Amino acid sequence: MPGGLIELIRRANQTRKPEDSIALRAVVLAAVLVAALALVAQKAVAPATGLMLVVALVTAYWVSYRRRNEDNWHIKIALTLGAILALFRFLGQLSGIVTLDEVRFPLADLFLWVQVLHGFDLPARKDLNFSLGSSLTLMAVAGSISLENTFALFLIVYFALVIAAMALAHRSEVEERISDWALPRESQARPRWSFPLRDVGRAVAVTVVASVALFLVIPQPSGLRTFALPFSIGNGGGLFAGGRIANPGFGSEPSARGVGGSYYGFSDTMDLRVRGDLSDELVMRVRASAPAFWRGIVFGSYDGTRWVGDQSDPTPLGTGAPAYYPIEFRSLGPRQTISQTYYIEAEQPSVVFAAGQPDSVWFEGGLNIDKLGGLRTPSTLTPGTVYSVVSTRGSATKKELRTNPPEAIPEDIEKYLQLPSTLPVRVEELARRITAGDTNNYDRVRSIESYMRDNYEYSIDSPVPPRGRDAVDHFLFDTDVGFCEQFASATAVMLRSLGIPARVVAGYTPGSRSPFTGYYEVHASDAHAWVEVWFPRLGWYEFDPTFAVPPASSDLASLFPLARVFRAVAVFIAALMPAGMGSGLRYLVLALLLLTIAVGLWIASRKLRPRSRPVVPVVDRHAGPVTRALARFEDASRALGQGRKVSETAAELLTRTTRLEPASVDALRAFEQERYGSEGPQERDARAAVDELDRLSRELSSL
Amino acid sequence: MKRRPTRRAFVITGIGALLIMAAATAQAGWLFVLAAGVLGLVGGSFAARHRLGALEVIRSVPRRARVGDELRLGYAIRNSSKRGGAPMFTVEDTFGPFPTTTVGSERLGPGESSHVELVRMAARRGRFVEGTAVISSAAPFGLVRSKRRLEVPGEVTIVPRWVDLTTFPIFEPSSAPSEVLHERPRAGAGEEFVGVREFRPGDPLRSVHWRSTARAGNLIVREFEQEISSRAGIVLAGADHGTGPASSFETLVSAAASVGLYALSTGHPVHMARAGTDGVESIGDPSRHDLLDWLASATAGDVELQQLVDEALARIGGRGTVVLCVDSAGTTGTSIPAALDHIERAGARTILVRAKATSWDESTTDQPFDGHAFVPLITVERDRELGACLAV
Repeated sequence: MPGGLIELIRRANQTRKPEDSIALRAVVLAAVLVAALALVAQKAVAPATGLMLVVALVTAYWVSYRRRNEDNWHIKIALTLGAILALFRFLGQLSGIVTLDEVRFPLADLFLWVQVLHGFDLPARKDLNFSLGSSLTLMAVAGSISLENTFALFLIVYFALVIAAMALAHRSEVEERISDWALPRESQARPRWSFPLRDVGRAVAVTVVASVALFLVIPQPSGLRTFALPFSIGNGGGLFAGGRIANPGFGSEPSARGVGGSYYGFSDTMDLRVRGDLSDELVMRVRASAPAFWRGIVFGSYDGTRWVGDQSDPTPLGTGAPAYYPIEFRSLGPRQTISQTYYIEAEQPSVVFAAGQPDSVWFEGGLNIDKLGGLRTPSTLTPGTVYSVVSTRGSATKKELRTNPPEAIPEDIEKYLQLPSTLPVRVEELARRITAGDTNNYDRVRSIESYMRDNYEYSIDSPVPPRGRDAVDHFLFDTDVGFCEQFASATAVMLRSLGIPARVVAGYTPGSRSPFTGYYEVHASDAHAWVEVWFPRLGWYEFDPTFAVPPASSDLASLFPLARVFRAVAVFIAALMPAGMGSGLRYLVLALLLLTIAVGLWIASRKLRPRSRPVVPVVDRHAGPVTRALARFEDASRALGQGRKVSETAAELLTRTTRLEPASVDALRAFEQERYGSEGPQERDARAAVDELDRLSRELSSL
Repeated sequence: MKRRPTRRAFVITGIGALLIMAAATAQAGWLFVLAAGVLGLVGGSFAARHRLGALEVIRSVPRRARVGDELRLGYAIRNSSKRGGAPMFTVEDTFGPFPTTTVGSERLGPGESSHVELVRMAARRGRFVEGTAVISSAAPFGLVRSKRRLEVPGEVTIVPRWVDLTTFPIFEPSSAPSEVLHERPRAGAGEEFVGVREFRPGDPLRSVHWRSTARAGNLIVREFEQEISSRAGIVLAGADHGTGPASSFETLVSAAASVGLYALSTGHPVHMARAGTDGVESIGDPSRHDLLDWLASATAGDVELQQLVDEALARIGGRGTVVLCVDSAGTTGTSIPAALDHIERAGARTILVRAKATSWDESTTDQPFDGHAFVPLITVERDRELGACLAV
């Protein structure tokens, strides 16, 4: 049987024609190297291993070029053994893996070794094409690992090399098929072939446009299909929390003005008198199946100037992953699941950020839960920390929320009705006035939310309430200016004054989703506070009186990048319009703008479209007498509206426009001899041909 | 002009679709970019124009040649467009006598031309006036191929190969009966005087007309009726067995050409008959060129020999020689004995050149033929040289 196998390998090797193009081999090798380096850059492979692989790949390609004409059956056997070893190495690496997600790294390692082994046996163009194709797998693995936009550099270089390789492979393919190349008449020897920059450049330009267009219209569903949720401790060494919430951005002085990467609200108290400037530093990336607020802290009681969370020692949730959210904190009713993975980029407080209600959490290092349901970690989250959460959030419809029958508030929820005794009565009076016509709690929340947005201005530098003044009252009746803390606090306090359980929570807005990486990039300045309102039997629902609650389900803009472009354009155009313009007038202006663009494009396309016109013969001053006579004939035929078509040969033109007589055939032959022959026609034949063509021209002109 | 994606384009599109699926599953945005890039290559190739519409192809080839001759086949390609250049393309020419020829050209700008000359063997006999050339380009990535088909004129006649015979048993009009190989007695031959002519080597001395010789100063011989009636009629018929220029019918055509040329060179008026699409086709008193041209366009056909023999006999009379160049199988093979009887009854002489079909194709059957009295039988076979077969 081994003999049969060897024979099989030998035969498979003999059927391929060796590829001699060094340029093609070099470009394919470069593409493979770029893909390998992309994996190294994504830390999928250690730099030392990467260097070794580069050397091995170059050696492999050199060997396969040198031995392209040989019967490499013994190399094939060695490569088969090597592949088996690589597979065992891969299986060995799997043993240390905790999550399915981590399989990507040994898989990348395996692909790389297979690429190296395959590199030793690339005799034919087909093998090189296969190698190029498998380098795409390496790029795909690197792309799936990459969190950053710098991966674009690798992609650009890689695509440039792939394009060059495809152009070279196509040329090699053509060269194999043809008997010989047709050369320009003046060249005596075969000119040195140069890369067809003009054609490839043109094709690349079109390809780039097509790729961008495709990228904009390819649906990018954000629903995570895999539950291979990764988690890791990161680089460790975070601040120990010791039962409280440790915030790396601030010291212990609560009134200090915060500057930097951490929001002061990420603490067990949120003082409404503190103002802070938050930087645009990237704090984390979130891979999520839907955009959501990433909630970190829950505040229960309000004392007139501060919101206070649970300050007692939190309860451990265990150390095994995943940790499940305790049943007593869970909401009921219709829920939407959101899977998220958080990649911490800048040190964060010792809390777990998660969308809505974190049902299960994959976190390494142990989790605690406070009495309000906030999840805490033993120490601050350090860069490199990765954790995953599967959350749910209420997805009851507006109708369900409106028709939700009132019910006695459970004992454990009653704490969310707490208000300070010093709260001025006019706050409650305002709440009642705003919700006067509302018959259910949902409408009351919406009315207050709308009232806040319509009557108060957003400013990060709002005036600080004087000592002794209630912060909410000061915001509502004196300053009319505030930021998310004021908006959320005022809403929660007013709702509580109406007997609706509400609480203020703090965390991050979804951030901006990178269309390239697919991750939500969350910056320090995305820190936010909003409100959660309790509905009987349905649990907690999020409301944002400052901006808007993120959509409960993915919309078009999150599915198609093109929709995001349109949205951005629409926002830009809307910003250009005067503020006082009515919505009807806005639509009219927008429609006129679109119409103008459409008409402009139509006119441009008309101008740029090449017109179909008959070919005007190219008669240069060196053209012979017969060619010039044929040109005169073409002029005559064009005057009759029967000009020569682009695809028409001289013979076809003559056949179409005249009755082909022996003299005409001779004239045609003389023309072909003069135009294409290595020697021109005899002088007598040329004269006869000119006479005949001129006679035909006169005949046409007389018609 | 047709534009079609190549197989590679389908493979790449499949890879792009897989990347999209992987991207959606793993929430990896870069895979969407990778997929868009990969699919963009195919999309971009569709959008790129090849501009093959204005390309002209001129083929140059010698007017006449023999089967198996190596000819100089030239192509001149010109881009007559004023606007755009045609990227790298190939011209695949299917022109009768030659195996399909493919030449390539680098980019041809507007008004530019290129040319190439190849040496190709004329593989097929026939008269060819035009061939189809397919210009195609899949530049620059080989993902989308544009094709344009055009008829390229070019006239060439490929005549059959022949062997130069030094002798053949056609009844020689000016030879003594004893000098003719396999001669049989013929009553009245050479009795009727019809005129005089110059002496040719081989003329018997008894036919010298001394009075005219004395007047002319060189040898003059008497010409008899037999000389006029000793025409050669060549009948060509039979199915084709085997392939290529050495198939059974091609061998028979070569045999007919060899016999015909021999007959012409020895002064026999020749008449040829074959089966055509509209019945019997014939040619009388052809020149050397006409004979070869006529044979160049002969096609195989398994037919009864009766009509062809009638046609030959009608032209050569009862005293000529009918050379049957026929196949041993099928209807033609079956009708050989009857044809021989018919010729004998007409008083003409017969020579049978019979291609042994089974030597080309073992699956066929040679019709039984045990020979015929007074009829020389020449058998041609696949593995025997034609010259050797005909050298009787």
